[in-house]
Amino acid sequence: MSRIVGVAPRAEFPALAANALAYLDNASTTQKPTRVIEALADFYRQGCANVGRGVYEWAERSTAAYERARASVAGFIGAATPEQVVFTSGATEALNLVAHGWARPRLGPGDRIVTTPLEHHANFLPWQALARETGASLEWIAIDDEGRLDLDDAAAKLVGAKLLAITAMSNVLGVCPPLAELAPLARAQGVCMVVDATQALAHGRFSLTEVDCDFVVASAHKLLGPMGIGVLVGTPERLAELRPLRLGGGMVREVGLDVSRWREPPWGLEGGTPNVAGAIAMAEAIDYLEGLGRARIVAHERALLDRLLVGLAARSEVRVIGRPEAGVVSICLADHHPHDVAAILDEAGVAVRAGQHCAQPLLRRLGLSATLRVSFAPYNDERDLEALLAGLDRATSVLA
Amino acid sequence: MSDPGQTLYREALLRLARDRTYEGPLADAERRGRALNPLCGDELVAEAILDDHERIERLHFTVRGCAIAQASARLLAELAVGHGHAELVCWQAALRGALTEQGVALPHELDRLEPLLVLRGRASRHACALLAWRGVDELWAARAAEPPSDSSSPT
Repeated sequence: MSRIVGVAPRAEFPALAANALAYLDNASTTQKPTRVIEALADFYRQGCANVGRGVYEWAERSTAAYERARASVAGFIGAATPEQVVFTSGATEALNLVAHGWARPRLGPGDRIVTTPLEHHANFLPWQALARETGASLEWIAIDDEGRLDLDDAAAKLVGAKLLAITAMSNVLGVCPPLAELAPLARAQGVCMVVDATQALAHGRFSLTEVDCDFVVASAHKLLGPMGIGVLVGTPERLAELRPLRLGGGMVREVGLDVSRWREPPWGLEGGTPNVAGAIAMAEAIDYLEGLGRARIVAHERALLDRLLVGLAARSEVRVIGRPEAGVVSICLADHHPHDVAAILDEAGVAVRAGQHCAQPLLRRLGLSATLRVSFAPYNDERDLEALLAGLDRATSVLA
Repeated sequence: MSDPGQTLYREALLRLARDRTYEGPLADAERRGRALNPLCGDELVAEAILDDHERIERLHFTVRGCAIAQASARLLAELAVGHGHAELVCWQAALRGALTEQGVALPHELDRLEPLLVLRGRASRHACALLAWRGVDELWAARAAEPPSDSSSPT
Protein backbone atom coordinates (compact mmCIF):
# COMPACT_ATOMS: atom_id res chain seq x y z
CA MET A 1 0.00 0.00 0.00
CA SER A 2 1.61 3.29 -1.06
CA ARG A 3 2.03 6.12 1.41
CA ILE A 4 -0.23 9.12 1.01
CA VAL A 5 1.59 12.38 0.46
CA GLY A 6 0.06 15.84 0.49
CA VAL A 7 -0.97 17.35 -2.83
CA ALA A 8 0.25 20.68 -1.41
CA PRO A 9 3.88 20.43 -0.19
CA ARG A 10 4.31 21.28 3.49
CA ALA A 11 7.38 23.28 2.50
CA GLU A 12 5.09 25.83 0.84
CA PHE A 13 3.39 26.52 4.19
CA PRO A 14 5.82 28.34 6.50
CA ALA A 15 4.02 27.37 9.69
CA LEU A 16 4.04 23.69 8.76
CA ALA A 17 7.59 23.74 7.39
CA ALA A 18 8.84 25.12 10.70
CA ASN A 19 6.85 22.74 12.87
CA ALA A 20 6.28 19.01 13.07
CA LEU A 21 2.68 19.51 14.19
CA ALA A 22 0.10 17.23 12.58
CA TYR A 23 -2.46 19.93 11.90
CA LEU A 24 -5.86 18.26 11.52
CA ASP A 25 -8.19 21.11 12.50
CA ASN A 26 -8.71 22.43 8.99
CA ALA A 27 -12.47 22.63 9.30
CA SER A 28 -11.80 25.37 11.83
CA THR A 29 -9.20 27.16 9.75
CA THR A 30 -6.41 26.25 7.36
CA GLN A 31 -2.73 27.13 7.30
CA LYS A 32 -1.61 29.59 4.63
CA PRO A 33 0.90 29.06 1.83
CA THR A 34 3.77 31.52 1.40
CA ARG A 35 2.31 33.05 -1.73
CA VAL A 36 -0.92 33.96 0.11
CA ILE A 37 1.03 35.54 2.96
CA GLU A 38 3.15 37.41 0.42
CA ALA A 39 0.10 38.61 -1.51
CA LEU A 40 -1.31 40.03 1.71
CA ALA A 41 1.95 41.75 2.61
CA ASP A 42 2.68 42.95 -0.92
CA PHE A 43 -0.52 44.94 -1.04
CA TYR A 44 0.83 47.10 1.76
CA ARG A 45 4.51 46.78 0.90
CA GLN A 46 4.09 48.07 -2.65
CA GLY A 47 1.92 51.05 -1.75
CA CYS A 48 -1.74 50.62 -0.92
CA ALA A 49 -4.61 52.79 -1.99
CA ASN A 50 -8.34 52.69 -1.58
CA VAL A 51 -10.47 51.16 -4.32
CA GLY A 52 -12.91 52.86 -6.66
CA ARG A 53 -11.94 56.34 -5.56
CA GLY A 54 -8.53 57.74 -6.62
CA VAL A 55 -7.27 58.42 -10.14
CA TYR A 56 -3.56 57.99 -9.46
CA GLU A 57 -1.57 54.88 -10.36
CA TRP A 58 -1.66 53.14 -6.98
CA ALA A 59 -5.42 53.60 -6.75
CA GLU A 60 -5.87 52.24 -10.25
CA ARG A 61 -3.69 49.26 -9.35
CA SER A 62 -5.63 48.57 -6.12
CA THR A 63 -8.97 48.78 -7.87
CA ALA A 64 -7.85 46.52 -10.70
CA ALA A 65 -6.45 43.90 -8.26
CA TYR A 66 -9.62 44.02 -6.16
CA GLU A 67 -11.84 43.50 -9.19
CA ARG A 68 -9.58 40.72 -10.48
CA ALA A 69 -10.03 39.05 -7.10
CA ARG A 70 -13.79 39.30 -7.55
CA ALA A 71 -13.50 37.60 -10.93
CA SER A 72 -11.33 34.82 -9.46
CA VAL A 73 -13.88 34.10 -6.75
CA ALA A 74 -16.70 34.11 -9.30
CA GLY A 75 -14.87 31.55 -11.42
CA PHE A 76 -14.05 29.35 -8.43
CA ILE A 77 -17.62 29.26 -7.14
CA GLY A 78 -19.14 28.96 -10.59
CA ALA A 79 -20.90 32.33 -10.79
CA ALA A 80 -21.64 33.58 -14.29
CA THR A 81 -20.26 37.06 -13.70
CA PRO A 82 -17.92 38.78 -11.20
CA GLU A 83 -20.69 41.23 -10.36
CA GLN A 84 -22.47 38.43 -8.53
CA VAL A 85 -19.73 38.41 -5.87
CA VAL A 86 -20.04 40.69 -2.83
CA PHE A 87 -17.03 40.81 -0.54
CA THR A 88 -17.86 40.52 3.16
CA SER A 89 -15.87 39.87 6.32
CA GLY A 90 -16.75 36.19 6.05
CA ALA A 91 -19.61 33.74 5.72
CA THR A 92 -21.21 34.92 8.96
CA GLU A 93 -21.55 38.50 7.75
CA ALA A 94 -22.76 37.25 4.38
CA LEU A 95 -25.53 35.18 6.00
CA ASN A 96 -26.55 38.08 8.21
CA LEU A 97 -26.66 40.29 5.12
CA VAL A 98 -29.13 37.92 3.45
CA ALA A 99 -31.16 37.53 6.65
CA HIS A 100 -31.51 41.22 7.37
CA GLY A 101 -31.06 42.73 3.89
CA TRP A 102 -33.24 40.34 1.92
CA ALA A 103 -35.37 38.15 4.19
CA ARG A 104 -36.44 40.50 6.96
CA PRO A 105 -38.65 42.77 4.79
CA ARG A 106 -40.22 39.70 3.19
CA LEU A 107 -41.13 37.65 6.26
CA GLY A 108 -44.10 37.89 8.53
CA PRO A 109 -46.38 35.75 10.70
CA GLY A 110 -47.31 32.54 8.95
CA ASP A 111 -44.23 32.48 6.73
CA ARG A 112 -41.84 29.56 7.05
CA ILE A 113 -38.06 29.32 7.03
CA VAL A 114 -36.75 25.82 6.45
CA THR A 115 -33.32 24.65 7.56
CA THR A 116 -31.57 21.48 8.71
CA PRO A 117 -30.04 20.24 11.97
CA LEU A 118 -26.68 20.06 10.15
CA GLU A 119 -26.09 23.80 10.16
CA HIS A 120 -23.22 25.69 11.74
CA HIS A 121 -24.53 28.29 14.17
CA ALA A 122 -23.72 30.96 11.56
CA ASN A 123 -26.44 29.50 9.33
CA PHE A 124 -28.88 28.96 12.16
CA LEU A 125 -28.78 31.88 14.58
CA PRO A 126 -29.66 34.62 12.04
CA TRP A 127 -32.73 32.62 10.97
CA GLN A 128 -33.76 31.81 14.52
CA ALA A 129 -33.52 35.48 15.47
CA LEU A 130 -35.36 36.56 12.34
CA ALA A 131 -38.17 34.07 12.95
CA ARG A 132 -38.67 35.36 16.47
CA GLU A 133 -38.58 38.95 15.28
CA THR A 134 -40.98 38.60 12.35
CA GLY A 135 -43.34 35.92 13.65
CA ALA A 136 -42.25 33.49 10.94
CA SER A 137 -41.71 29.86 11.90
CA LEU A 138 -38.48 27.91 11.67
CA GLU A 139 -38.71 24.30 10.57
CA TRP A 140 -36.12 21.52 10.37
CA ILE A 141 -35.77 18.95 7.64
CA ALA A 142 -35.42 15.59 9.35
CA ILE A 143 -32.09 13.75 9.28
CA ASP A 144 -31.24 10.19 10.18
CA ASP A 145 -28.66 9.17 12.77
CA GLU A 146 -25.89 9.44 10.18
CA GLY A 147 -26.79 12.98 9.21
CA ARG A 148 -28.50 12.15 5.92
CA LEU A 149 -31.44 14.34 4.94
CA ASP A 150 -34.90 12.88 4.56
CA LEU A 151 -35.69 14.08 1.04
CA ASP A 152 -39.40 13.33 1.34
CA ASP A 153 -39.54 15.51 4.43
CA ALA A 154 -37.59 18.20 2.58
CA ALA A 155 -40.00 18.13 -0.34
CA ALA A 156 -42.98 18.39 2.01
CA LYS A 157 -41.51 21.22 4.05
CA LEU A 158 -40.52 23.27 1.00
CA VAL A 159 -44.13 23.57 -0.15
CA GLY A 160 -45.15 27.13 0.58
CA ALA A 161 -41.89 27.98 2.39
CA LYS A 162 -40.19 31.33 1.90
CA LEU A 163 -36.55 30.39 2.43
CA LEU A 164 -34.30 27.35 2.65
CA ALA A 165 -31.01 27.79 4.56
CA ILE A 166 -28.78 24.76 4.11
CA THR A 167 -25.16 23.74 4.28
CA ALA A 168 -23.36 22.10 1.39
CA MET A 169 -21.31 20.05 3.85
CA SER A 170 -21.62 19.45 7.57
CA ASN A 171 -18.68 20.83 9.53
CA VAL A 172 -19.21 18.04 12.08
CA LEU A 173 -20.07 14.88 10.17
CA GLY A 174 -18.55 15.48 6.74
CA VAL A 175 -21.83 14.61 5.04
CA CYS A 176 -22.95 16.56 1.97
CA PRO A 177 -26.69 17.10 1.56
CA PRO A 178 -27.90 16.44 -2.00
CA LEU A 179 -28.22 20.09 -3.00
CA ALA A 180 -28.48 19.33 -6.70
CA GLU A 181 -31.68 17.42 -5.93
CA LEU A 182 -33.01 20.01 -3.49
CA ALA A 183 -32.41 23.06 -5.68
CA PRO A 184 -35.07 22.19 -8.31
CA LEU A 185 -37.58 21.52 -5.54
CA ALA A 186 -36.86 24.92 -4.02
CA ARG A 187 -36.96 26.61 -7.42
CA ALA A 188 -40.29 25.00 -8.28
CA GLN A 189 -41.78 26.28 -5.04
CA GLY A 190 -40.31 29.77 -5.39
CA VAL A 191 -38.28 29.22 -2.22
CA CYS A 192 -35.18 31.37 -1.84
CA MET A 193 -32.31 28.89 -1.37
CA VAL A 194 -29.33 30.03 0.70
CA VAL A 195 -26.31 27.71 0.71
CA ASP A 196 -23.49 27.79 3.22
CA ALA A 197 -20.60 26.48 1.13
CA THR A 198 -17.92 27.38 3.66
CA GLN A 199 -16.82 23.80 4.31
CA ALA A 200 -17.74 22.30 0.98
CA LEU A 201 -15.61 24.63 -1.14
CA ALA A 202 -12.52 23.71 0.84
CA HIS A 203 -13.11 20.08 -0.05
CA GLY A 204 -13.97 20.62 -3.72
CA ARG A 205 -17.60 19.83 -3.06
CA PHE A 206 -19.59 22.77 -4.38
CA SER A 207 -20.12 24.71 -7.60
CA LEU A 208 -22.93 26.99 -8.70
CA THR A 209 -22.71 25.27 -12.07
CA GLU A 210 -24.22 22.21 -10.38
CA VAL A 211 -26.56 23.81 -7.83
CA ASP A 212 -29.04 26.42 -9.00
CA CYS A 213 -29.54 28.40 -5.80
CA ASP A 214 -30.16 32.04 -4.93
CA PHE A 215 -27.34 32.85 -2.51
CA VAL A 216 -24.06 31.17 -1.55
CA VAL A 217 -21.67 32.20 1.22
CA ALA A 218 -18.05 31.30 1.92
CA SER A 219 -15.05 32.32 4.02
CA ALA A 220 -11.50 32.54 2.70
CA HIS A 221 -9.74 31.25 5.78
CA LYS A 222 -11.10 27.72 5.27
CA LEU A 223 -9.59 27.81 1.74
CA LEU A 224 -5.95 28.51 2.61
CA GLY A 225 -6.78 32.23 2.49
CA PRO A 226 -6.68 34.94 5.15
CA MET A 227 -9.12 35.51 7.98
CA GLY A 228 -11.56 38.42 7.84
CA ILE A 229 -12.63 38.07 4.21
CA GLY A 230 -15.41 36.09 2.59
CA VAL A 231 -18.16 36.42 0.03
CA LEU A 232 -21.83 36.47 -0.62
CA VAL A 233 -22.62 35.29 -4.14
CA GLY A 234 -26.13 35.79 -5.43
CA THR A 235 -28.16 35.71 -8.61
CA PRO A 236 -28.40 39.17 -10.19
CA GLU A 237 -32.12 39.25 -9.42
CA ARG A 238 -31.67 38.48 -5.72
CA LEU A 239 -28.74 40.86 -5.32
CA ALA A 240 -30.84 43.63 -6.82
CA GLU A 241 -33.48 42.96 -4.15
CA LEU A 242 -30.93 43.02 -1.33
CA ARG A 243 -30.99 46.08 0.91
CA PRO A 244 -27.51 47.27 1.93
CA LEU A 245 -26.82 47.08 5.66
CA ARG A 246 -23.53 48.96 5.70
CA LEU A 247 -24.07 52.50 4.51
CA GLY A 248 -21.07 54.72 3.94
CA GLY A 249 -18.34 55.62 1.51
CA GLY A 250 -17.85 53.93 -1.81
CA MET A 251 -21.35 52.52 -2.20
CA VAL A 252 -23.26 55.63 -3.21
CA ARG A 253 -24.45 56.90 -6.56
CA GLU A 254 -25.83 60.16 -5.25
CA VAL A 255 -26.18 61.60 -1.76
CA GLY A 256 -28.85 64.21 -1.18
CA LEU A 257 -29.88 65.96 2.00
CA ASP A 258 -33.12 64.00 2.14
CA VAL A 259 -32.66 60.99 -0.08
CA SER A 260 -29.67 59.07 -1.35
CA ARG A 261 -29.20 56.38 -3.98
CA TRP A 262 -26.85 53.44 -3.99
CA ARG A 263 -24.64 51.98 -6.65
CA GLU A 264 -25.71 48.71 -8.23
CA PRO A 265 -24.57 45.40 -6.71
CA PRO A 266 -22.04 44.32 -5.73
CA TRP A 267 -20.50 47.75 -5.03
CA GLY A 268 -23.67 49.16 -3.49
CA LEU A 269 -23.50 46.40 -0.88
CA GLU A 270 -19.89 47.07 0.14
CA GLY A 271 -20.13 50.32 2.09
CA GLY A 272 -16.88 51.62 3.61
CA THR A 273 -13.33 50.68 2.75
CA PRO A 274 -13.31 46.98 1.92
CA ASN A 275 -10.68 44.45 2.99
CA VAL A 276 -8.74 44.88 -0.24
CA ALA A 277 -5.64 43.01 0.87
CA GLY A 278 -7.83 40.17 2.11
CA ALA A 279 -9.69 39.95 -1.19
CA ILE A 280 -6.43 39.88 -3.15
CA ALA A 281 -4.99 37.19 -0.85
CA MET A 282 -8.23 35.20 -1.10
CA ALA A 283 -7.86 35.21 -4.87
CA GLU A 284 -4.25 34.08 -4.48
CA ALA A 285 -5.40 31.15 -2.32
CA ILE A 286 -8.03 30.24 -4.90
CA ASP A 287 -5.42 30.38 -7.65
CA TYR A 288 -3.22 28.09 -5.54
CA LEU A 289 -6.08 25.61 -5.05
CA GLU A 290 -6.99 25.73 -8.73
CA GLY A 291 -3.34 24.99 -9.48
CA LEU A 292 -3.50 21.90 -7.30
CA GLY A 293 -6.63 20.83 -9.16
CA ARG A 294 -10.02 20.12 -7.72
CA ALA A 295 -9.97 16.47 -8.83
CA ARG A 296 -6.59 15.88 -7.16
CA ILE A 297 -7.74 17.54 -3.94
CA VAL A 298 -10.85 15.37 -3.81
CA ALA A 299 -8.91 12.16 -4.62
CA HIS A 300 -6.23 12.94 -2.02
CA GLU A 301 -8.83 13.60 0.62
CA ARG A 302 -10.68 10.40 -0.26
CA ALA A 303 -7.46 8.43 0.15
CA LEU A 304 -6.79 10.04 3.54
CA LEU A 305 -10.35 9.45 4.63
CA ASP A 306 -10.32 5.76 3.62
CA ARG A 307 -6.99 5.19 5.35
CA LEU A 308 -8.18 6.96 8.48
CA LEU A 309 -11.41 4.97 8.63
CA VAL A 310 -9.44 1.73 8.35
CA GLY A 311 -7.17 2.83 11.20
CA LEU A 312 -10.11 3.84 13.35
CA ALA A 313 -12.00 0.62 12.65
CA ALA A 314 -9.03 -1.33 14.03
CA ARG A 315 -9.53 0.37 17.40
CA SER A 316 -12.54 -1.01 19.21
CA GLU A 317 -12.71 1.96 21.57
CA VAL A 318 -13.27 4.39 18.66
CA ARG A 319 -16.73 5.21 17.38
CA VAL A 320 -17.07 7.16 14.14
CA ILE A 321 -20.13 9.41 14.17
CA GLY A 322 -22.16 9.02 10.99
CA ARG A 323 -20.70 8.14 7.63
CA PRO A 324 -18.38 10.93 6.42
CA GLU A 325 -18.28 11.55 2.67
CA ALA A 326 -15.47 14.13 2.71
CA GLY A 327 -12.53 15.06 4.89
CA VAL A 328 -14.30 15.91 8.13
CA VAL A 329 -14.66 13.06 10.63
CA SER A 330 -16.17 13.16 14.12
CA ILE A 331 -15.29 10.43 16.57
CA CYS A 332 -15.72 9.47 20.21
CA LEU A 333 -13.05 7.51 22.08
CA ALA A 334 -14.79 5.15 24.51
CA ASP A 335 -16.51 7.38 27.05
CA HIS A 336 -13.54 9.68 27.41
CA HIS A 337 -14.28 13.34 27.18
CA PRO A 338 -13.19 14.75 23.77
CA HIS A 339 -11.41 17.65 25.47
CA ASP A 340 -9.25 15.24 27.45
CA VAL A 341 -8.45 13.27 24.32
CA ALA A 342 -7.68 16.45 22.35
CA ALA A 343 -5.39 17.71 25.11
CA ILE A 344 -3.44 14.43 25.09
CA LEU A 345 -3.25 14.59 21.29
CA ASP A 346 -1.90 18.12 21.60
CA GLU A 347 0.83 16.81 23.87
CA ALA A 348 1.62 14.29 21.14
CA GLY A 349 1.88 17.03 18.49
CA VAL A 350 -1.54 16.56 16.92
CA ALA A 351 -4.02 19.43 16.61
CA VAL A 352 -7.68 18.46 16.37
CA ARG A 353 -10.88 20.12 17.52
CA ALA A 354 -12.95 18.89 20.43
CA GLY A 355 -16.33 20.21 21.46
CA GLN A 356 -19.57 21.09 19.78
CA HIS A 357 -18.11 22.70 16.66
CA CYS A 358 -20.62 25.58 16.65
CA ALA A 359 -23.36 23.02 15.95
CA GLN A 360 -25.21 22.49 19.21
CA PRO A 361 -28.56 21.57 17.59
CA LEU A 362 -26.87 18.79 15.60
CA LEU A 363 -25.07 17.33 18.59
CA ARG A 364 -28.27 17.42 20.61
CA ARG A 365 -30.09 15.66 17.77
CA LEU A 366 -27.41 12.96 17.77
CA GLY A 367 -27.53 12.63 21.56
CA LEU A 368 -23.92 13.75 21.97
CA SER A 369 -22.45 16.43 24.20
CA ALA A 370 -19.21 16.76 22.23
CA THR A 371 -17.03 15.00 19.66
CA LEU A 372 -13.44 14.92 18.58
CA ARG A 373 -13.17 16.21 15.02
CA VAL A 374 -10.44 15.44 12.51
CA SER A 375 -10.40 17.47 9.30
CA PHE A 376 -8.10 17.47 6.28
CA ALA A 377 -6.50 19.97 3.95
CA PRO A 378 -4.36 19.40 0.83
CA TYR A 379 -1.11 19.43 2.85
CA ASN A 380 -2.06 16.54 5.16
CA ASP A 381 -0.31 13.24 4.61
CA GLU A 382 0.05 9.75 5.99
CA ARG A 383 2.39 10.89 8.76
CA ASP A 384 -0.40 13.06 10.12
CA LEU A 385 -2.68 10.04 10.25
CA GLU A 386 -0.02 7.95 11.96
CA ALA A 387 0.54 10.64 14.57
CA LEU A 388 -3.20 10.87 15.16
CA LEU A 389 -3.69 7.12 15.57
CA ALA A 390 -0.67 6.83 17.87
CA GLY A 391 -2.03 9.75 19.89
CA LEU A 392 -5.43 8.07 20.21
CA ASP A 393 -3.70 4.93 21.51
CA ARG A 394 -1.84 7.03 24.03
CA ALA A 395 -5.06 8.75 25.14
CA THR A 396 -6.69 5.34 25.61
CA SER A 397 -3.83 4.26 27.80
CA VAL A 398 -3.63 7.48 29.86
CA LEU A 399 -7.36 7.82 30.43
CA ALA A 400 -8.11 4.15 31.02
CA MET B 1 4.73 19.26 20.93
CA SER B 2 4.62 19.51 24.71
CA ASP B 3 7.28 18.37 27.09
CA PRO B 4 6.02 14.98 28.36
CA GLY B 5 6.88 16.15 31.90
CA GLN B 6 4.34 18.94 31.47
CA THR B 7 1.39 16.73 30.68
CA LEU B 8 -1.97 17.89 31.98
CA TYR B 9 -2.93 14.35 32.76
CA ARG B 10 -0.75 13.64 35.74
CA GLU B 11 -1.77 10.75 37.92
CA ALA B 12 -2.76 13.02 40.80
CA LEU B 13 -5.27 14.84 38.67
CA LEU B 14 -6.63 11.69 37.07
CA ARG B 15 -7.05 10.10 40.50
CA LEU B 16 -9.15 13.07 41.59
CA ALA B 17 -11.21 12.88 38.40
CA ARG B 18 -12.00 9.22 39.01
CA ASP B 19 -12.96 9.71 42.67
CA ARG B 20 -16.75 9.64 42.87
CA THR B 21 -17.08 10.44 46.58
CA TYR B 22 -19.04 13.63 45.97
CA GLU B 23 -20.61 12.63 42.68
CA GLY B 24 -24.32 12.39 41.99
CA PRO B 25 -27.55 13.83 43.29
CA LEU B 26 -27.69 14.81 46.96
CA ALA B 27 -30.78 13.64 48.78
CA ASP B 28 -32.56 16.52 50.52
CA ALA B 29 -30.52 19.14 48.68
CA GLU B 30 -31.70 22.65 49.61
CA ARG B 31 -29.95 24.47 46.82
CA ARG B 32 -29.14 23.60 43.27
CA GLY B 33 -26.99 25.41 40.71
CA ARG B 34 -26.23 24.61 37.09
CA ALA B 35 -23.30 25.68 34.94
CA LEU B 36 -22.62 25.13 31.25
CA ASN B 37 -19.50 25.43 29.17
CA PRO B 38 -20.69 26.53 25.74
CA LEU B 39 -17.34 25.68 24.15
CA CYS B 40 -17.69 21.96 24.69
CA GLY B 41 -21.22 21.46 25.98
CA ASP B 42 -20.12 20.36 29.42
CA GLU B 43 -22.76 20.59 32.09
CA LEU B 44 -22.55 20.48 35.85
CA VAL B 45 -25.17 20.52 38.56
CA ALA B 46 -24.12 21.46 42.10
CA GLU B 47 -26.39 20.47 44.98
CA ALA B 48 -25.90 21.56 48.56
CA ILE B 49 -27.24 21.35 52.05
CA LEU B 50 -26.53 24.50 54.06
CA ASP B 51 -26.26 25.07 57.80
CA ASP B 52 -28.13 27.74 59.73
CA HIS B 53 -25.50 30.32 58.80
CA GLU B 54 -25.81 29.69 55.05
CA ARG B 55 -22.54 27.80 55.03
CA ILE B 56 -22.13 24.64 53.02
CA GLU B 57 -22.69 21.52 55.05
CA ARG B 58 -22.59 19.04 52.17
CA LEU B 59 -21.88 19.58 48.49
CA HIS B 60 -22.31 17.16 45.61
CA PHE B 61 -21.79 17.52 41.89
CA THR B 62 -23.22 15.77 38.88
CA VAL B 63 -20.73 16.42 36.12
CA ARG B 64 -20.94 15.69 32.43
CA GLY B 65 -17.50 16.95 31.63
CA CYS B 66 -13.81 16.38 31.12
CA ALA B 67 -11.27 15.10 33.63
CA ILE B 68 -10.31 18.66 34.58
CA ALA B 69 -13.91 19.57 35.37
CA GLN B 70 -14.36 16.33 37.34
CA ALA B 71 -11.17 16.81 39.35
CA SER B 72 -11.94 20.45 40.10
CA ALA B 73 -15.44 19.55 41.29
CA ARG B 74 -14.03 16.82 43.53
CA LEU B 75 -11.61 19.29 45.13
CA LEU B 76 -14.24 21.96 45.62
CA ALA B 77 -16.76 19.54 47.17
CA GLU B 78 -14.33 18.89 50.00
CA LEU B 79 -12.95 22.40 50.27
CA ALA B 80 -16.28 24.22 50.45
CA VAL B 81 -17.64 22.49 53.55
CA GLY B 82 -18.04 24.98 56.39
CA HIS B 83 -17.73 28.01 54.15
CA GLY B 84 -20.23 30.55 52.80
CA HIS B 85 -20.78 32.37 49.54
CA ALA B 86 -18.55 35.38 50.18
CA GLU B 87 -15.57 33.22 51.07
CA LEU B 88 -16.04 31.03 48.02
CA VAL B 89 -16.23 34.07 45.77
CA CYS B 90 -12.88 35.26 47.16
CA TRP B 91 -11.35 31.83 46.70
CA GLN B 92 -12.61 31.61 43.13
CA ALA B 93 -10.90 34.93 42.39
CA ALA B 94 -7.72 33.60 43.96
CA LEU B 95 -7.86 30.47 41.83
CA ARG B 96 -8.46 32.52 38.69
CA GLY B 97 -5.50 34.70 39.57
CA ALA B 98 -3.25 31.72 40.19
CA LEU B 99 -4.28 30.16 36.88
CA THR B 100 -3.84 33.26 34.79
CA GLU B 101 -0.93 35.09 36.34
CA GLN B 102 2.41 33.38 36.44
CA GLY B 103 3.98 33.59 39.85
CA VAL B 104 0.77 34.31 41.74
CA ALA B 105 0.56 31.67 44.43
CA LEU B 106 -2.57 30.13 45.84
CA PRO B 107 -3.35 31.24 49.41
CA HIS B 108 -2.39 28.66 51.97
CA GLU B 109 -5.97 27.53 52.60
CA LEU B 110 -6.26 26.57 48.92
CA ASP B 111 -3.14 24.40 48.85
CA ARG B 112 -5.14 21.35 47.91
CA LEU B 113 -6.03 23.02 44.57
CA GLU B 114 -2.39 22.76 43.55
CA PRO B 115 -3.04 19.97 40.97
CA LEU B 116 -5.11 22.46 38.96
CA LEU B 117 -2.15 24.78 38.46
CA VAL B 118 -0.97 22.50 35.68
CA LEU B 119 -3.48 24.53 33.65
CA ARG B 120 -1.33 27.64 33.80
CA GLY B 121 -0.64 28.73 30.23
CA ARG B 122 -3.61 26.73 28.96
CA ALA B 123 -6.32 29.37 29.02
CA SER B 124 -8.68 27.29 26.90
CA ARG B 125 -9.04 24.84 29.82
CA HIS B 126 -9.61 27.36 32.62
CA ALA B 127 -13.35 27.24 32.02
CA CYS B 128 -13.19 23.48 32.73
CA ALA B 129 -11.51 24.09 36.10
CA LEU B 130 -13.94 26.86 36.98
CA LEU B 131 -17.13 25.05 35.95
CA ALA B 132 -17.76 23.67 39.45
CA TRP B 133 -17.14 27.09 40.98
CA ARG B 134 -19.66 28.65 38.62
CA GLY B 135 -22.14 25.94 39.57
CA VAL B 136 -21.67 26.81 43.24
CA ASP B 137 -22.20 30.50 42.44
CA GLU B 138 -25.57 29.50 41.06
CA LEU B 139 -26.51 27.83 44.33
CA TRP B 140 -26.95 31.23 45.79
CA ALA B 141 -28.37 32.81 42.66
CA ALA B 142 -31.16 30.29 42.21
CA ARG B 143 -32.61 29.30 45.57
CA ALA B 144 -33.74 25.70 45.49
CA ALA B 145 -34.80 26.13 41.89
CA GLU B 146 -34.88 23.24 39.50
CA PRO B 147 -32.12 23.58 36.92
CA PRO B 148 -33.53 25.07 33.73
CA SER B 149 -33.76 22.50 31.02
CA ASP B 150 -33.13 23.06 27.36
CA SER B 151 -33.65 19.70 25.83
CA SER B 152 -35.33 20.93 22.68
CA SER B 153 -33.76 19.25 19.74
CA PRO B 154 -34.35 19.34 16.02
CA THR B 155 -35.71 16.26 14.30
